[in-house]
Amino acid sequence: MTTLSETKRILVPLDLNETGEDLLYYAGQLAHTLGAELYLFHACKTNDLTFTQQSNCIQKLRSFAERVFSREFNASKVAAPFDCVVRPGQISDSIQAVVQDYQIDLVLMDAGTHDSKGLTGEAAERTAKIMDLVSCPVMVLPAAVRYKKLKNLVFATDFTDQDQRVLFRIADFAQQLKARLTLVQVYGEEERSQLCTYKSAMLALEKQLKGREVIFRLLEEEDVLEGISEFSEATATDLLILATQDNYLMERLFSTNYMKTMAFHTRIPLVTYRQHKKKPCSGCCMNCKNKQEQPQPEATIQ
Amino acid sequence: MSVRDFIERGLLQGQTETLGTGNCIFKQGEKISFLYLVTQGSVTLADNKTGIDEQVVAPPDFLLGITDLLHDTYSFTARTLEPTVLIRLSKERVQQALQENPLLRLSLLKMMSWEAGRTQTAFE
Repeated sequence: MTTLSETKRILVPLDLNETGEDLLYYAGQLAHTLGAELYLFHACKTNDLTFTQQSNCIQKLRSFAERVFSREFNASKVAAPFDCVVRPGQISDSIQAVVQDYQIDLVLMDAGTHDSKGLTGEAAERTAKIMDLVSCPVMVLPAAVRYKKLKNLVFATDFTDQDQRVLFRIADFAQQLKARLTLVQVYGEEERSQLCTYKSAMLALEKQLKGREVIFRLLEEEDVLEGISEFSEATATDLLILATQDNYLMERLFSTNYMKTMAFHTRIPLVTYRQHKKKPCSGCCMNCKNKQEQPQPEATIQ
Repeated sequence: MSVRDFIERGLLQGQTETLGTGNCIFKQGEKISFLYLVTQGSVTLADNKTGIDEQVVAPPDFLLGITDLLHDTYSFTARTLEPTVLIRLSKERVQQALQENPLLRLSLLKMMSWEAGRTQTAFE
């Protein structure tokens, strides 16, 4: 018997500027929908922080949030409760400890500033770094995206490589949002021979998630990202979910050279869950390379 | 009447904060925005500008930062010596209360004279 894992505490790393205002508005709406608490996190970019500086910074952060919430929400619709967390240095220096100390369930961040072509390389790198640092799921918002009810969630996955704990967390998240969840696997032409394995894995997952509003799809497409991107566009996806152990896919998703993923820079928020995979990833990232280099136990014939 | 009495009677509003050992409350030269009343624990005050290697432990119920009320920056560094409970008061609020209440003025003058006495001892 499994218990519902709820998203109760959302950490929002933000700067006190226009991008921060948009992110805060989104965070307020999302927390309101989920019935969650917000933890607003600001890194002061100084080497250290006295208690007085910290108090000042918290006061500024609090006034900033109150101003945004009072402007964006009318009196009848109260934004989510929030607390402020301030640390010295950069966000990446202390986010790991903050996530642990405050028992954060989800990190909500913006994908950074845009240049005319999409995300800046620096912003993409920063986002991928945070995703790599924290153990909880990370939700990344395209810059300037406005909140809209998340009704249609797509989890791009491999049916044969699942971690039940992660799968149920994702299903619980969809349930908490009262959204429909679609599990989609994209496979290449060369994998046709394994279609039977994929289908039986899909049926097994269907059984596990029985009673929940979940749809399963198998799609043939040469490139995984292209397949996910096209599917997301065609089904008017509100949120794309990935479960991965490395940030190779993220780097590609956020790459400005890859036009097919532009929707993720401009329209579709993305959530990543940390999952240790049994199979190596398609990009053969450092994680997979290290795994492959480890000596395999020799098979013995009795 | 002590500053604590003024706070208890609601004539001065502040927030209670708890800090662990070795926390820097403020640094010498930092802009003054708050004064702190130590209600439990102890705080060491260090002046690094004079070149005098001196550390003083603030007496009970001392309002940290009061001696710099008319300055823009703190003239010493304050650090907790043990787990300490403080009441944080905004500088503007204290200035306003001073204008309104002669008893508070008298109480704060006493504190300032302690600081003046401390400086004299340091030079002896």
